[in-house]
Amino acid sequence: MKREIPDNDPNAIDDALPHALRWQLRALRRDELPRTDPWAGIAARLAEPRVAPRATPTSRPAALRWGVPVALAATLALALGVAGWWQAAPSPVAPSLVQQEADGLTRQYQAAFAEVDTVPAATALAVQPAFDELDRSAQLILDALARDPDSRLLLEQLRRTYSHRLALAQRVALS
Amino acid sequence: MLTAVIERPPETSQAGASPVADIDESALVAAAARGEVAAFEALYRRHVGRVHGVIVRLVGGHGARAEDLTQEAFVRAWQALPAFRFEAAFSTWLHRLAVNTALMELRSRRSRPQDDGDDEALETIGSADSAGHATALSLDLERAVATLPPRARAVLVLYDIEGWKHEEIATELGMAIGSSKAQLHRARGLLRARLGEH
Repeated sequence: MKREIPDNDPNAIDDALPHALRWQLRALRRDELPRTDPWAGIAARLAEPRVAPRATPTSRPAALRWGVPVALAATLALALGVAGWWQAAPSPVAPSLVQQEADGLTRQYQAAFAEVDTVPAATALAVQPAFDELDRSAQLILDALARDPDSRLLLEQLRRTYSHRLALAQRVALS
Repeated sequence: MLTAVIERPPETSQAGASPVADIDESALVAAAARGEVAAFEALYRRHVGRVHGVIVRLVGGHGARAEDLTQEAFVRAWQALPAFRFEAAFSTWLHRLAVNTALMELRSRRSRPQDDGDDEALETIGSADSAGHATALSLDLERAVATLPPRARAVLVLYDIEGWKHEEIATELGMAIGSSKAQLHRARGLLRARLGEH
């Protein structure tokens, strides 16, 4: 497991780097121009309506993040039990198209996870960190999407993360 | 109108004397926040080098991925500009936004199986043929940093190159301060090994 260095030990790291290397690293801080100017692509996207800024980014408390598959499965079972979950009740502020896609994607994958997340206890112990990490990544992307609800890049990242989590769950289930 | 002042944006932010160099940046920011694309392009020209630079270092290389993220960072900046309150310098705000954009992508990629190399699977780059030449050394160092595992690289870039504090890194990466220190320790060890130090 990864070792953590106590917060109150500031010298534990700083002594580890030779002076010369430290300065050479600082010298790497320089401007780099893209090989192809991305302005045209940026300008094309500026026509999209601006979205009202969301709350200041904050990370959720660990307890609120997706936890163990048991909790996840329980939540999903509840979600699946609600008829018409696909179309949630209308909210006063209409979500963006990307957000709607993200919500649909989340529900679809959660349903799929629920089907494959029944893993023997011994196996679950071994793969749990990977699941936790993937769930955490997905939650971070969802948090980012809440702040930047029109980002297709984030939506694509969410799709990839869910896809990998599902692939891992399937591999575990088949092993 | 500011747009009337900006006749033509400079080619690049590194072009030296820029036609908009004398325009007060806060005026450009205010105009861009109001929706003036020409003002935003002027800001883009001024800062694209810095933004792309930090993104390249964080993702470990040039290429389409870094350029996509640079584009994404500027689009996000455009979206967020109306909320910019001049509590920090625009360049600082933009830099942080760029870092955040790159880290978001790294966090996502970190969860992918092919990126399991975050741990031990990375090959050492060719042992530096660094016979004391500054340029070669710089390139070796740049390459060595680029081949670090993504999470360790992000911490090392932010701490040792960008000058961030562990508290800031921990917040941005959603990790404990101790984990940031541990990642830095690991990154430095790997870096020194790749540079052939003992």
